[in-house]
Amino acid sequence: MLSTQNVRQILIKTNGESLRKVRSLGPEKTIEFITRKGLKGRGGAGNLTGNKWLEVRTQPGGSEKYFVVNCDEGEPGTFKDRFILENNPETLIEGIEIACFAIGCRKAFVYVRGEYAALAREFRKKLDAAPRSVPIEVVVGAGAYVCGEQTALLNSIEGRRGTPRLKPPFPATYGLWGKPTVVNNVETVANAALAFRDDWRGDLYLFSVSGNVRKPGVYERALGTRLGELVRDCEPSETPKAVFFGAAGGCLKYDAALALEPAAVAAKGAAVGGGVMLGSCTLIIVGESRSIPVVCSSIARFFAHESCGNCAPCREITALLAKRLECSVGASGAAGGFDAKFNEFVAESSALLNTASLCGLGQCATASLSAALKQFPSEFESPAKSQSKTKSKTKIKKQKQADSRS
Amino acid sequence: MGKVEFSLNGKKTSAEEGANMLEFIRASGIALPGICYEEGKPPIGKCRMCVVEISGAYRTACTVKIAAGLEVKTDSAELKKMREAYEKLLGKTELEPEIKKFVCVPSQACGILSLDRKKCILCGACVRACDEQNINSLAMVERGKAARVETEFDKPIDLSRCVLCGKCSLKCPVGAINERDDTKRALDALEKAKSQGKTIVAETAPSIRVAVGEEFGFAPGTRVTGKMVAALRRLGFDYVFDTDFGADLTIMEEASELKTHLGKRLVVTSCCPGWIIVAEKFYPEALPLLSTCKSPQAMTGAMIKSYWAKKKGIDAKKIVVVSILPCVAKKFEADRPELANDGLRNVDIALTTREFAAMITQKKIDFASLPDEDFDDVLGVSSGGGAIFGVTGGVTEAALRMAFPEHAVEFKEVRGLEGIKVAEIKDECGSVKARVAIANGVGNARKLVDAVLDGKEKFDFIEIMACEGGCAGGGGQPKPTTKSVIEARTRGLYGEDEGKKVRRAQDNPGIKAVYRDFLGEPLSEQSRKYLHTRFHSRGKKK
Repeated sequence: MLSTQNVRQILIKTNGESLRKVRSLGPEKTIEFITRKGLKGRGGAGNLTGNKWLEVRTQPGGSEKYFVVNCDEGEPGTFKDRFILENNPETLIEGIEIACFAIGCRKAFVYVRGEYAALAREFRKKLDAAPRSVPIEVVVGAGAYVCGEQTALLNSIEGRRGTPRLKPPFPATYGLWGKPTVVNNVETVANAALAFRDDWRGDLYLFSVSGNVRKPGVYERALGTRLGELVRDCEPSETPKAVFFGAAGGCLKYDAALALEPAAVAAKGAAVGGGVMLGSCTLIIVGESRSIPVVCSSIARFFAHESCGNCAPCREITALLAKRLECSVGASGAAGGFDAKFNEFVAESSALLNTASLCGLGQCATASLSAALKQFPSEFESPAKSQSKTKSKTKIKKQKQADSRS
Repeated sequence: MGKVEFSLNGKKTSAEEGANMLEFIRASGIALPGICYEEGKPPIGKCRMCVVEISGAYRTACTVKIAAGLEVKTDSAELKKMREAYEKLLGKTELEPEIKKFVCVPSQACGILSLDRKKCILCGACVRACDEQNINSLAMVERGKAARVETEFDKPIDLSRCVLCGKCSLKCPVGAINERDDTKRALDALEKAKSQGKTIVAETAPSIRVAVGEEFGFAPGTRVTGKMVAALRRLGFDYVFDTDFGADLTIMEEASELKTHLGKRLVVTSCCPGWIIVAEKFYPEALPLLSTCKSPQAMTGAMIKSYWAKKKGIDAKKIVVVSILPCVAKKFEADRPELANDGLRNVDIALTTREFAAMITQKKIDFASLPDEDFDDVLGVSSGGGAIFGVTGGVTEAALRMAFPEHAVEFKEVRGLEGIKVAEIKDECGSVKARVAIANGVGNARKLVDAVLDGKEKFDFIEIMACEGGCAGGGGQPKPTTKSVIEARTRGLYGEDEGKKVRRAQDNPGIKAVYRDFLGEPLSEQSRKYLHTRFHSRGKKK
């Protein structure tokens, strides 16, 4: 279980009160209310949730519409959805009921990533115990990162191979089994229930913090909080050097003054070539003893492993990149070094992936590497700094042993 | 929807809103590359080769629908660079070594379809084709670099759901999936025929004459019967017969079965080998409803090695029958041990249209400038009823012409490319004499058979063809075989029927002779020996 001491609002149980309010408001007014309150999606894109609901509500097709909760948080370093599923499933369920009532869905699905199978079992028990007005089905994935992409997720629920669909059509018009469908993130849905409380604050987000910190975990903070403040609370184990926004969100040189807010992060990222985003508020803190190329190699391996193989650019280039990086930093940290053409190779790969990949997975696959090359060029000089990495590993091991003894 | 205006390479143009952009661009005379798109089908969008610039963004043309105000650019240095890069990616950076045979246990079906992984670009056209057939034996498995096309649970093909329709090989844009290559065996046999004292006989299925020309620059559907016969003679065949003759025989037998069972029980056609495998794998309970007739290919072969051999005074053991067919499953059929008489296979080598064309090319025969030649006598004479065996609804129409000779010769109600057709044959007073149904494509066939087995529908006669459009769209036909190509071939075959003096099988003088001199009556003991067969369950698949 993750520690709950840094979180307050998301733990509040709404106890059916929000649903009662919603029922007296009626569907249209509910959507209006959600839009007015400014609830935004927490999955990464950050669109107004009310707009998404309204679009599907006004689609023809009667009650043959579906509501899907995306709990396939496969982004490395992200664990906030798991936190909600563990600690406040009741409010999440109420959020689902509110959404179904407002949109006019007759059935909801909660898609839980394969690695959370145990959580899904617990959640099912909670579902069985709670009084419900719509059927809610829990579907457990098979462990593919790409199923977090909403159309791949829909394919997976339908029992098909979890690969992204061609868009358009988008799920709002052609979703589950071809019916209009809303896909919302877990945190968004829980907040939809909380939004009907008078003291709800729409700017409180869950941050998943990991990396070289002594207190990794879920932190509830207002958007705009300075990176330095948050990291101080997490107690860095060494001087921070960089922050990675998951694997797909790119990275920035550590700057304590950075405001943790989508526009600010994107603006800072634009200065280093773009592709950096706060996304689902994942922060992996990388300390000074760490080798950036090694981190990038690990991320490249992740993408090569998770590419669904559907479109050639992503399938071939992610594999090539992973191999290139592994040869350069070495599997065990022994450096082969980067040759002079490495930068050019990455630039070409990024361009191809960006224009030709079918989905976000391929398009984001080089975000971290590109940003790292711009901000930490000296680390990508031959030979790579491999020794510091091995050293740091043993250091951490010793630290861990010391922790467990005390 | 209506017409909308947009610009293509700077020029104002208009087209139907929502129409496919790639099709429109190609129709405007611009040769846009693109490997995985097939006209009229939902796009796959994987090969990325048809990338164009649309209002400032790079998009694949196949996935874009035409809308007002779009600015489309099909050519620029940047686009050219992108296409080159994509092509390189599809060409693969690392080659995997093995050619994977879908089949690994020694068996009858061994190697009838194989996949060359070195060529496969993972576009998924075969998977879509298999899905359209509602067989779903082929699927993508694994992910990333390990992604590959595979039969379900890596099963060998004869234990899998595959029915050998060959649609995957027909739709593969890079020739990675192929039917078993029997051209070497055929050319070998032709070469050694003289020294071994053998007589080599060819028979050509109805739909070959309207398709093989496409491989040599003729428009789809052009009838090149004469050149086809001439080409076979140039290849060294001693005699060239028409499988249409066998089709006429099939009609004599099948329509007699229909007449016997009319009002009592359903008769389902048995001439499509793909459908036979569907029935044996998926509907063993329906096997007793099948006509026991052999297919035209086997009937022709059986007659060549018995009736004709005797007549000519040739030792049947010294005859090699090579059939040219639009079909991959026919290879499997030709190998069936049941299709033999007097210890001899009915057909020795079965070739697809594509293989036939490859042989012509290999032997450097200039097909287009060949003279028109006629089929050889007796087994080369056929009726219009035999000719239309090559299209969906054709077998039904031919059978009805025989069963109801009092009716006008054409039964227009059974024609057309719809997936499932239902027609009622009425007498002058309007009472129904027979209720027939026709399905083409395995997906439609399964819907129809399910409805019949569930008792929801009742028919006297059902015709099933495993391929879209019947043999005209067969799995062994030239590429591309799209809907418009199938329509053209269909028109070609109906044109042949209309031009024939003899339209009904029973009026064919050759057929009359073979019954008078050899077989006796339809369904006689002699007919049953040479023209009928049996089927067996291959373990029910779900």
